[in-house]
Amino acid sequence: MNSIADINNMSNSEMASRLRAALVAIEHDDAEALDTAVNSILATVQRPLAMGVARLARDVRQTLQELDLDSRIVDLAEGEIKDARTHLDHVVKMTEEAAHKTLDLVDDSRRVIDLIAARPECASLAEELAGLRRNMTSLAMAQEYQDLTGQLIRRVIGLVRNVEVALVDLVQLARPALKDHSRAPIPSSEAYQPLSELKGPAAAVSASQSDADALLADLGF
Amino acid sequence: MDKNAKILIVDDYSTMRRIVKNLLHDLGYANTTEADDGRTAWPILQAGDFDFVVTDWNMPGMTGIDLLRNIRGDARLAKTPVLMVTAEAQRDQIIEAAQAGVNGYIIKPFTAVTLKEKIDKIFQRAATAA
Repeated sequence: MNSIADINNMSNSEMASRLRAALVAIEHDDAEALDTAVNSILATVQRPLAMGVARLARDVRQTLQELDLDSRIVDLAEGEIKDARTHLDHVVKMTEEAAHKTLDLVDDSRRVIDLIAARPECASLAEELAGLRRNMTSLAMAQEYQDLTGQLIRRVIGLVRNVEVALVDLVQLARPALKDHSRAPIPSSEAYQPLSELKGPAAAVSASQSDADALLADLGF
Repeated sequence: MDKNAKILIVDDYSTMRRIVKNLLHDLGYANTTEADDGRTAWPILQAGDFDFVVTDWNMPGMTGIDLLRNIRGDARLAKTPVLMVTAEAQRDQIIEAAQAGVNGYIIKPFTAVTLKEKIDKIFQRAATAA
């Protein structure tokens, strides 16, 4: 097997002859020959890069095997990380159920407030009932958190899924016989998915409603 | 705007649809319909004479910005006022929505007062333009 040095030496001599061929093609104004020569030069230049990547992959595989990391990564990818996604999904469902339950109670309380407000003997309580109605609106509005936290959690679920796919890819690189592994790899339907380009709920720096209003006013709104 | 105005609420989160619906009811607008993304909203919009659309931006299927562009590109629906209620709060996104022809932009989390202000403003302008 050739060493990297041998191949580099070979590439140097190849490079010289290909450069000469390119010069001859230019001198003879031969576009076709020039095209061929340039392509062969490019191929020579790219070869060390491909070899470098292959060597890196081999080193990674060897290191993973030496450290017995593959089985640990498989456990992580197919066990704990998958569990983490399930837990996060569960959080979204639980908060949704809790928010709906609160909204049900708010609806029911509003109905009761309206019933009380309609009774002539309760006329003196009008102010208090109006206050209660405002509180019910605030309670309903507070359930907005479910949408906003849900969006953030779904982004994290997407990120975790991609880490999971990347880990399995790494294990497959380290041990091509993974297919024979007793645990099945992640199904193709769960392949890497790019995260949404949308920023979603603001975690830190973003426009406030008044910033948005000012911006829209500048745009003629 | 007539209190019988037919309003379509588009959001993939059922809790948010419910919150917006309740707020609209408090403001006297009881004629509301719900859709969970742009794709389900589109045939509903085409089938009914909606006076107003309140939409989220980030939804699976069809996003709110695409729904807005489709509305503006449809001869019959083009003039329907659209209010975007979204967690997307980047300057570029607000400009993008404005360029796509949005009539109002509310950043989540929002208040009942903000929703009322934006709706009043949109309906006032619609009345002036009519």
